Amino acid sequence: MLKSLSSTRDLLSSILRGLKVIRQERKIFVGLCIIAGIYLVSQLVSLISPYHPMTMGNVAPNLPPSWKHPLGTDPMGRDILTQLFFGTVLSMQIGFMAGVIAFASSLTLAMIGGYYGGYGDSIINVFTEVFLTIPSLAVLILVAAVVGKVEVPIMSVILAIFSWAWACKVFRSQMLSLKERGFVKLAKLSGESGIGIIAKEIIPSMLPFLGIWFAFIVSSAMMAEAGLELIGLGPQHRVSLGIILNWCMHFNAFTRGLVNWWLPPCIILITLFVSLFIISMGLDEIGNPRLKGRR
Amino acid sequence: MYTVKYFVRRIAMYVLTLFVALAINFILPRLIPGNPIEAKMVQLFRQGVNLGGKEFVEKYSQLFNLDQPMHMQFLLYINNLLHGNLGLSITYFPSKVEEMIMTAIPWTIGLLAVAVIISYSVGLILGALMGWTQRKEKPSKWANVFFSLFMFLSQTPYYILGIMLVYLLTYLLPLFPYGGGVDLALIPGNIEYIISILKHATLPALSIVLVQLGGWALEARGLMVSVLGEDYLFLAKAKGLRERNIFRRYALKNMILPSITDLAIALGTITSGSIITEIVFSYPGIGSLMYNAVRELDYPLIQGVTLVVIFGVTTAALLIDLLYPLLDPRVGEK
Repeated sequence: MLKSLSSTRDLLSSILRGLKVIRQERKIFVGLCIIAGIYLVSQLVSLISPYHPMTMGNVAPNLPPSWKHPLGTDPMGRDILTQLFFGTVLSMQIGFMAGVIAFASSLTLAMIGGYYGGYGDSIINVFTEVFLTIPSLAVLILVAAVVGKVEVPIMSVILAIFSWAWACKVFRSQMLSLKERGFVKLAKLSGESGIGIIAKEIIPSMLPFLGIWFAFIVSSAMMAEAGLELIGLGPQHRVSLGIILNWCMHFNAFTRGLVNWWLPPCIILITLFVSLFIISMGLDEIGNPRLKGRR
Repeated sequence: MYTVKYFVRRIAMYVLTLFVALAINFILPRLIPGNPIEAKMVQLFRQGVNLGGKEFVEKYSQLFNLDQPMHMQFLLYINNLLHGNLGLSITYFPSKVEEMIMTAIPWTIGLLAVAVIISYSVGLILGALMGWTQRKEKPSKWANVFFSLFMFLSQTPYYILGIMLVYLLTYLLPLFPYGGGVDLALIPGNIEYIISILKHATLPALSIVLVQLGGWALEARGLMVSVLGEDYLFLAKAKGLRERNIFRRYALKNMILPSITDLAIALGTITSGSIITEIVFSYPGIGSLMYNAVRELDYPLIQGVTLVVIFGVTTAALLIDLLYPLLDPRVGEK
């Protein structure tokens, strides 16, 4: 009873400490705020939006920006601003889901393989190397073309399959070096189980590092996602930022100078990528305090 | 020098990777229910194109051994590949896939090789200079401005930068042509033709150069900062050498070596690095070929292109891993 109470208190205090660190690290705080802000605003506006992002012909086509349609309408008679908000939500959901799947599987494989070693580890290692070498974009295009009309969860899984390998390799090598440290050996001597050591000793000691890689995986999954959609592969009958760009390309929006159409999705994508990068820079500074003055 | 074990292990990995890639390439299109060739025929027939109906399907099924059991199909597929036979395109029947790829590949390699080398050299110098300013107590404001700029660039996907360049330099300020690799009205061989090729390649190349420039510069800056604390720089300064010479002969030389592996990797991904950029600019390379194949569901062509790209990248990775230990003896010893 007493023991569980103290461990709950420990957990609470470590969460509070984490929040304090995040607030003190300006980079992480700013990055998280931008990302959360973009998501919340898009989600809220898409709930109350008067137009539908996909139904064609609800409004007059090819309108320039006006008060009624702040970003104008597209050639198929749809409000562009509405599409933008819906698209942002979907793109972020797919990227985040792909990131979570890839992150969780790479962490599990690396931790268990790296800690226990043996044949399982060798197999994991070989597969990591194979997936690292295969050019993911080319295979992604093949997969997406074969699968055809992908639903959102399948899209996330496909993206995840091609983004876990780098992280897995890095986590595993980190694991191999941490395994030999004193505090891990001490935990082993005190009778802690393998899973317990991984969960209580090793993962907490590499938290900032894990955060950096999570940001990196999400960012590269979203980059691949938008790229695939730009060339017309990915979820159908839904709108995402990449799909908006695909329509722009289809209707030559770039060479016709329809800035109101193609520029906003580009700006949102870049803002998301830069925010994720800033967050990982902030986490890097927590991990290596020496960097702080340098940047 | 590396040991025999390292060599054997690396070759085995290479064969395994190629095998997995081949298997993916073989299995995926066969997961679609029905005969892909029949499906394509029906689609073409609706569009009013009749390639010969049933006989064509049969002939084609035979050509690709689709009437054989799966394991035989796989063996025959590999046998065909070993003979350099990638099959026939469905959309551009009866063009050979390998010939279509051979016409596309020089465009891609030319574009990427030039872009990678330019961005590497310029990025390296700029990044090294940025890192060099960090040795003072108060780094100059310009270093910070450039740092933010490069960070922004390195996080921008190629295709978005490409879109922006298309808008700026073909619409707002029409300096460059959009689409294609060369003005088709010109006769190959003369100087005008070459100028036209360069003009068409400038925008796609620029979008790749700008993005990679950011990445290279950030990396070079990091490498430079990491050598700043070394004793040999301190000694060089104590000897009274001029700043410029310390930078060139001591700092720059020592930070370049680790970045060479990354340059080699970047050159290795040359066949796959510009797929989406090419599509945005409708540049006639491998990427556009793949795009058209995907749009037309031309499976032999999709498979062929994927295979060539995978083969190129894995082979380049193999060469890097076998050659690098010769450059840097510390690698490959364990």
